[in-house]
Amino acid sequence: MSQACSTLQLFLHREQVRAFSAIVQQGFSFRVEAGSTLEDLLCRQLRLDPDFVRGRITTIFLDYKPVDDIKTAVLRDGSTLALSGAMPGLVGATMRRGGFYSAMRGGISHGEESAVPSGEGEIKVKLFNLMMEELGPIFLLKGIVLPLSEMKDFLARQDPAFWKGCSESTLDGRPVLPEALIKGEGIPQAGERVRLCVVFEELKS
Amino acid sequence: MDKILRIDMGAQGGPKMTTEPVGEYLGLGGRATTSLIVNKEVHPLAHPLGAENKLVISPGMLSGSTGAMTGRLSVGCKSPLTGTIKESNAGGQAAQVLARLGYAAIILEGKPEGDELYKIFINKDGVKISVDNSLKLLDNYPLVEKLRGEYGDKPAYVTIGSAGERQLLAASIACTDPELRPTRHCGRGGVGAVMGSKKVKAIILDDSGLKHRTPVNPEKYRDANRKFVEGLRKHPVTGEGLPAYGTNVLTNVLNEAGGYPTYNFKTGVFPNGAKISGEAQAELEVKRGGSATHGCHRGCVIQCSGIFNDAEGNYVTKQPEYETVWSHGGNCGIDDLDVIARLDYMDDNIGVDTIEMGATIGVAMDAGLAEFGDGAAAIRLVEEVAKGTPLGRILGCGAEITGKVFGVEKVPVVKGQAIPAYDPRPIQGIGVTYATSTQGADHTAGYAIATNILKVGGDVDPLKTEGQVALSRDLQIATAAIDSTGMCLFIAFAIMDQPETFQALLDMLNAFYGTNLTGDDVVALGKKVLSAERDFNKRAGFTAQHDRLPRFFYTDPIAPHNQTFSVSDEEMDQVFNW
Repeated sequence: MSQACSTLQLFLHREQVRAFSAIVQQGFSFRVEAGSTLEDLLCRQLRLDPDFVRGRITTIFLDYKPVDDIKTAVLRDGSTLALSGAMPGLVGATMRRGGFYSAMRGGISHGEESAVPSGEGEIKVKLFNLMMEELGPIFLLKGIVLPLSEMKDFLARQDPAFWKGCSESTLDGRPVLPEALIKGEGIPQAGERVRLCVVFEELKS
Repeated sequence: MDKILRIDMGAQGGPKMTTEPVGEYLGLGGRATTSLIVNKEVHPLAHPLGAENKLVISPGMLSGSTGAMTGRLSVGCKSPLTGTIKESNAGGQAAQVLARLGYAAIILEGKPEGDELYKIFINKDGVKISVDNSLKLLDNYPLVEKLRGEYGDKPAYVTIGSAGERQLLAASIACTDPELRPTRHCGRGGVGAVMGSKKVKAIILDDSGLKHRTPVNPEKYRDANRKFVEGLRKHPVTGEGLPAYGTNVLTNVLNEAGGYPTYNFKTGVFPNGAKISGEAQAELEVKRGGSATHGCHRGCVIQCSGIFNDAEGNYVTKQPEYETVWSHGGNCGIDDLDVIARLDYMDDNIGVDTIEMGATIGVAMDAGLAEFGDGAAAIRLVEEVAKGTPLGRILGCGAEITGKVFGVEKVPVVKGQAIPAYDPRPIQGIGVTYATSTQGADHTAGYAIATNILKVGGDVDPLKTEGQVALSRDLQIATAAIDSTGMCLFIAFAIMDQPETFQALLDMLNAFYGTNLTGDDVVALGKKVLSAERDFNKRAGFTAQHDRLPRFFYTDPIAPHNQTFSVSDEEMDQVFNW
């Protein structure tokens, strides 16, 4: 599924991570090693601390099925992965991975049924609630892929505060002005998708 | 809380009140008090809107103290919506104030002749019942505003809107929040219609001059409360997720699980779910100068509510909860938070249950009264309820009646009460609770996810299929117990994961009452309450055949998992086999 596309890179203040909440909730494309386990993606490819994965990413869906064991859940090219923190309510507890109440949704729980071919792949990732701010910057730093129209809409709807927090922007390594991005002029018209990389800088005070 | 206030609204010569010792209900609270009284005193075949029914209002065991999360108010009666026993509870200030006034319960009984409308004022000096026909057909917001003009900003107000006066079966009872807005509702089961049948428009509770209730052992109570609060604050759900996003944080997750009932339960995924998620809602609330973090009563440390403003920054409503956003949102195909907030306000103002109302609009859309996704049409339908038109009266009586009147085959109700925001086909365990609850379909009937800590029913293997029935049983027992303490059910998350937080809760109860309650005692209380409720329902004519989901859940698979509900009747009948 992976295709060559232009890369837009933004350098932003950390607080601007909230501007990406709609994008990360609705989902973005992300390049992965197909055939790898979820644990491999989170702990090796994304280099997340295993304790963080165990304690914070407590609700996971792979292809709309709640995951109990990240060691056995395998990513396919084209999979959809959703990551969430602990959820309230009975159903929140029911969806928790390996949770006491997981039997209550036993019919939809994720289970591997066949071998998965390995190789380059691309999945759709969704980040919910606490994961939006905790994992969003990590995925954005690695680079996410969005449809061109979605990228243009995102850039066009950002307010001046967003651009004030943007210290640098480049397209395929060449500087591009925010004004051009807002008007959609900085993004190539050809191609259906854009890769977005964001480097979040810590606030100085 | 050593006395019960009993008011015979139908007494000759006008309402007659008596105060009696709390007696056998000493040390109980909330759902335990309401259900035990209703089971003992209400004839199970009584007409719910007749003189024989009683409306019992009770604060929790620790309400009125300095303890955190102690502010739930329970209301019990025979439900006009379900015909079963009913306990419906809400936050707000009322429980705290009623407890400080010393009442373990208020019992409204009898039924007045004529059209006079009453208000009841209670303070430290006593009780005053008076006729006030100027309140007739006022909805909750203007009603509270008018009452504040007379009684001021100190009291807590317990009121019904026009829906309650009209005795619509989805009518709720409103309790004011700390800002004196009528936003917290005992919503389910038509309890507002029962209050309306007693011709009581408002109960004004004023604890001026009274202090917090004093524990038997104040020092131990303070210490246990501190540990309890610490437990709530350090847990990721009660300390982070709920304060940041509210209960609507569940929209994205349920949608992703394919368990989000959409278009009147036709599919399990709402394509525009992210537009009405808790995350989107919180962002919008903050951007507009509202708040995504707010407590429904003083003493709440979770703060799962919020303030929803319009684009100009004007207050619209409190933060709509997940079930409300679902019922008026995805269930009706509506993806506009402003429309949903408007509907939430209208429901609170008229005084109807937001779950029942949204489910009803979904059924009405299936009937062709409006198109799915048409927010303006949904608002028009709720306006019919506000006006009390014939159509509005039908809609205000809930999903089942609306489905019957308009010939809709698939109506999502159990025992006449609308199924809430979690589809029981992909999440079969919750279907067991919907079907077998003593209350009609109710997600909160099996909500206290602390059964592992409470050891309700011993050690259940949750990975076995039959575990679903056992889990539902245990959850219902645990929930009945927590409901009886008057604690907010959301404390269950911290209790589930942190044994020391459960111990802190037990320590609070024991320090307050000077008792030695154990986890087993809490479980026994839950069983006692459920047994009383089952007994009432049995005498009211309910059998195992009523403990079933509507047929279409067994026959119509739901996308994306294409599952039907498959727990057998035989298994279902084992839920209350203890």
